[in-house]
Amino acid sequence: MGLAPIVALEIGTSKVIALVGELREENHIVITGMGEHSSSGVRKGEMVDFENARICVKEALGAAEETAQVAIHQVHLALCGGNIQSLVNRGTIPITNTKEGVTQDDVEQVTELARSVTLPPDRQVLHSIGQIFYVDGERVARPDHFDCSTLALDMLLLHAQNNHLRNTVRLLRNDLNIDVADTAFGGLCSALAVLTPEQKEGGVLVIDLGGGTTTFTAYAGGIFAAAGAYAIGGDHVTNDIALAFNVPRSQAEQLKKTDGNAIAETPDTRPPRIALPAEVGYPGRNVSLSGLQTVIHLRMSEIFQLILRDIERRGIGHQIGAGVVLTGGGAQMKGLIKLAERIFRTPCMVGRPMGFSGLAAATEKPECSTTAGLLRYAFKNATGGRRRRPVLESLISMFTGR
Amino acid sequence: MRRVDNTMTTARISVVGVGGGGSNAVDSMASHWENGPSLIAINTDGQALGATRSATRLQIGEPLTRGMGTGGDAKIGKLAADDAFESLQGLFRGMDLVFVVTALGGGTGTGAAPVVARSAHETGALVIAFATLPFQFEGERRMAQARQGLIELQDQADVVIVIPNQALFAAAGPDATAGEAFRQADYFLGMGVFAIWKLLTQRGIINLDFATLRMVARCSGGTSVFSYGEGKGPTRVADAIEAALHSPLLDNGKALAESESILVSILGGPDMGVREVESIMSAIEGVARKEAHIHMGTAIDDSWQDTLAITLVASRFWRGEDEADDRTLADLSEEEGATVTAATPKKKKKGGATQPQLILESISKGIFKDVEPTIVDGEDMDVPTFIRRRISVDK
Repeated sequence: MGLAPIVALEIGTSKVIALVGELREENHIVITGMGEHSSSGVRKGEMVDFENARICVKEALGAAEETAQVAIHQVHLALCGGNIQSLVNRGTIPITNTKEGVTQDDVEQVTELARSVTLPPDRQVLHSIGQIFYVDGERVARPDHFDCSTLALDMLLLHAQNNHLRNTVRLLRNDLNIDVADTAFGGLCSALAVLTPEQKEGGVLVIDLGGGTTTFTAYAGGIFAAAGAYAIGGDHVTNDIALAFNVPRSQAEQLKKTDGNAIAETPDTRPPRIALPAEVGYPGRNVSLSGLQTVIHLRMSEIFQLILRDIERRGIGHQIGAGVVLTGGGAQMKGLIKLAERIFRTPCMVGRPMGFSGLAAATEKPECSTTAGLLRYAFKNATGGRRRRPVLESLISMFTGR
Repeated sequence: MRRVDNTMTTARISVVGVGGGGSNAVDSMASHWENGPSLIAINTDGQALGATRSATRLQIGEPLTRGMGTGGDAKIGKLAADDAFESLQGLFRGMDLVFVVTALGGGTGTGAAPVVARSAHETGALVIAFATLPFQFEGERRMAQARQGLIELQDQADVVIVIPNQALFAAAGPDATAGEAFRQADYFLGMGVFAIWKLLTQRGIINLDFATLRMVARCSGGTSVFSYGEGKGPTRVADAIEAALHSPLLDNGKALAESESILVSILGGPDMGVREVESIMSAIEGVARKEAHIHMGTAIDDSWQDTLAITLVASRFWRGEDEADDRTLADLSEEEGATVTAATPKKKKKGGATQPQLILESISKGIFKDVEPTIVDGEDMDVPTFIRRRISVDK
């Protein structure tokens, strides 16, 4: 054994979740601690009120420490801001050594080249994931020893705005004395938590529906092919309802959770109007069930259509044979699977973290997909002996003076 | 009110019935009209299609349904229309105005009509949809499916005029049979389309041209309701007013009082005079809101001697002409042709477009008022989808 427990932290728009995990034999992850706290001070996945956010993070980490019986000094951080985007960059080099064909040096060189893109100064690369090698334009799984004249590599690069990342790291480091060991894109983490290898091979789209943002991650032919995020989430649905029926936000949230449907139910045996009790400044009233469905339906189908168009533009719209997996807190909405099936025209399902044991609460809820997946990501890197990424190194040194 | 008489008589119009109910309605129009607009029937059910009198028939979803219809499944109706998308666009190419007539609730009408509307819209036509909602006796499942279809249709058509069949039942009297009620629905649908078509193609005392119709269609939000009233003989004006204004389709006139926009079409014989038009308009203005946008046109048909019909299309939502999308105004200026130079209205549009949008943002962003907006393709996603798409929501 010998691997220390890892803490995964997600500072979401509606919830802060911290999970503590330990790696057992055969790469099995046991979740030993969990802390969650409703979030405030976060809008659209990004901190806007640092004092409130600090309190929420402190509470969540405190609860995780208590259940896991560990002291937390370091976390892995999931990033779910709506500013995260992906692009595919191709690096090509000539192969001059005709005797040995492609060498290890060539592979490193092409990897470096594919990884280097010029981004606007306010953005930085979050992940760079090698996709496909090409020797003289032909796809190959491994290029070693191929006799060819050019070698190319497609690299998927996820990039994010660095000021948000910097703010979060600063808050944890300076105000809570917590070190950030690594960061990862939340959408990628969710995919790692809920997908089977068969789904990745068949081509699959994972949509993580959060409170402030919706992220998506697509696999085609076993390869991580695209990712992105939109700063549109469950809060938008709530806000739409509040504005449509002129009800306070808390009632709108309640309406969404208890009576909300993304698609009309057939047959619907519920009464056509929903009674709402009076609240300060708002008289008691009732609202139309079909009106509520209309508001939710329009918003949710718009989000799905944005994502569909996005992956179609990237040319992978037809490659998601294994379907669509919805996860995140928003995935629990009634009728959402049906709506997704209608729009993506492929089987859809709700994805929950798979292959974890320990605290039952964490392993069953789709809103824990991101943090559970982050644990998997972190342990994979820890056992793979991967270095700490230079990006983060530089960020951390900024605050610690190391 | 515009009184420009331009190319309206040559506006290319087609009427397309989608599904069984839609095809029936178009069929009943075919039997009444001579030299009418081109009629198209679209259905998944090959047998039903074979029996229609429409000039053009398009069977969709053949491999999917083997020509047997959708079995009431809207999903199949949608897939069938999706597969035929290119043929649909071929049908509508070059059309200025397409009426999509459908009975929501079944498989083909509910599923395919939104796709048909989209295909017509994408070829550049103005799309006015007439959609009936099922009778209560047709069951809750069909009603729910119809409501879903209505939302999707609103997304694709410029205007959706809704006719709740159940209200027609009330009008037909307590002893009406289902067959009579259905025939009544078909008749009303037919007359609604007929009235607007006549308005555009027939010379009248006051003409309503295509550009105005398009402006009204694009400025009126979401769902509209309509009513129809006719009268014969010496009391024809009073009878038609009574029937149109107190129609059960307008919730006995209540809907009119709540409308932001009302389109009035008066159809009469050569004996119709200005005084009659005036008394009709003052009756309508009497029930409508003061601020409502009222557009009116008349059409005179020689065969309508001693007969008069009023058609009202009322919408609860109106966005200013300035707010209408770029295409509308650009097209309007084109329509006006040589008399107006293209530059003038375009300039006006730019100045006018920004301000109303700002007002919209401040009132309808709620909790996202103070955070960085989520803009996708120039659209502010923080504004509720139903507001951006101008879809009216049952409160």
